Amino acid sequence: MHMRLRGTGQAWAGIVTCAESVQQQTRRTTETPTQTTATPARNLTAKGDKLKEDMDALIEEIDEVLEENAEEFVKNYVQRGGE
Amino acid sequence: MLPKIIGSETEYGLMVQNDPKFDSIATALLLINSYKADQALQLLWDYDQEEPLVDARGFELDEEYDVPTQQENMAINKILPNGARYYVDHAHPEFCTPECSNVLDLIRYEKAGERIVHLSLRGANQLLPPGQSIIVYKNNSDQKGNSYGYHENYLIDRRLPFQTIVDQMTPFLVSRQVMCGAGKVGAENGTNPVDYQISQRADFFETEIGLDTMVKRPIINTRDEPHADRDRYRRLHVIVGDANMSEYTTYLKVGTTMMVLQMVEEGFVVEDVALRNPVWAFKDISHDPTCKALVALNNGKKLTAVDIQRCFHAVAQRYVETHPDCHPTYPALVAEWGAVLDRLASDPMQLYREIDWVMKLHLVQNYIERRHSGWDDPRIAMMDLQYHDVRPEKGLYYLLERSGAARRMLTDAESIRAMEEPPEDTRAYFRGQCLKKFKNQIFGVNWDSISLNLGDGPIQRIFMDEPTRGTKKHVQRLLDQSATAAELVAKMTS
Repeated sequence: MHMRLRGTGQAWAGIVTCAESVQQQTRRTTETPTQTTATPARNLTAKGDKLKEDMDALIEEIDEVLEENAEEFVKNYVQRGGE
Repeated sequence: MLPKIIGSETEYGLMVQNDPKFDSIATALLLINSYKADQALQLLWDYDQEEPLVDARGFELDEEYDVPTQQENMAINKILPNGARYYVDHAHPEFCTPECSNVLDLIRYEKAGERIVHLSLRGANQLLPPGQSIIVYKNNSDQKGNSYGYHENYLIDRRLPFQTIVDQMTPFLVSRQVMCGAGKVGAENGTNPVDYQISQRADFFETEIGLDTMVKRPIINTRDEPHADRDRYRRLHVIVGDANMSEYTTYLKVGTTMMVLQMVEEGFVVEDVALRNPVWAFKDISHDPTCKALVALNNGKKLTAVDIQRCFHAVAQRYVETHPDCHPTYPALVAEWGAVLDRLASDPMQLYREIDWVMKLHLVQNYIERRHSGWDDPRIAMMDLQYHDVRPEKGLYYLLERSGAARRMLTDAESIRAMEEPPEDTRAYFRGQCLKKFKNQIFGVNWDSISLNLGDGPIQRIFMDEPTRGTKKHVQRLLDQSATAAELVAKMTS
């Protein structure tokens, strides 16, 4: 199984949280036509770059806090007796 | 229409770094007893009224049920002033929330539980030899064939036939994982290999219905131990769920389940959605993170988990539209639920801020990409575990939260407050306030009773078999007017 993250340029279209989506749906019914123009292309790339930077930073942080000797650590974790 | 009281039990996973002779029971005991050790009360959990072997299908198992000695009891059980129970269950520290009247409180108390466990861990670490430290995970799998539970409890009307619960809740619980799975790297317990799956628990469920919680786990657990007036109430004990870190995921998981049970009680049922093989369906849905897996219904149709959820969502929508006085949390829940289903159907990865399994997968995929890693990399298995680490400085979920990458339902202040204060609108209020006020006069506690040691004479047991009574509104004046436990009892019996 191989799953690819969508390219960051396209990611903007999908990255809307549920509440925002619900709010957007309600807003759309009251917006005038002039307000619903598409976001300019350069804004999409800027947003995409920012998301990529944020993720880069997150991955760096994960490397800092991730337990060392991951293989041994995971091997040693055993938890019996659970419901 | 009976009120719906809910609560959850979380078994935490535990290990000690650099301890070759690690003993999980001893460590769990140390952990529990390290929480506010200076203020801990010496009281008993009252096992007298426990009936874990009674089966909802109408019989009682004739087995021995071990009850601890008094001394063991006090070491194993802590009842906290917020009404929660914090104790050692087999080899695990377990945190049971107090009874809550709504999903937002439930999230608060679960989060308070994580904080309590974290504080306990810090206290316990001070007593360990240098180089050793306790690590605790809020998850359900050790990747070695063992699974431990996250259990939900829903108070329901006893008049609702158990078969209706089985018929409605089996497809609902099997499919809801797409909204609330915690995610897991790999597969186990003899199921088909997979890089990543949606649910931590799916591989471990082997039957449709049963009493056991540890082997041959059933999708519908028939334990019939209401801890309440058994003529009015049933407590549905749900064991299929994953423990969640994300507040929004818990909101969906528990909120929708509570709402579905309520609507089913009132006759709003989903027609013709019975699964041909619920156990297979549970695993098939879990093993497909694209959420496209089709499962067979008894009627011959094949649906995805999202389709099945949509059936329940449609009925829920009708329910809230025809019940303007329904529980105030329901309309927003229905809206969120619908929006999430739309996202899951179009591309689940859009929910990378909202749903634990997607959040974890999103992190792992990005890690693999940037570090030229792969699913077999032990660091990926480590991330699977460390996502659930309760230490804020180490837990990957908390890392996301701090970065603003996790959708919140609460403020930190609310969950901190929930460490000390019980809910105001259930019997947990009476329990918590009695513990605070009458401290050393409390002899023993259970969910539905408090026993007081008044000094002279026998232990006085107060029965609390109505979970909706004992609220702040009911008992504040009584508490304010009683300086001692003896006065409280006198006022209650006069």
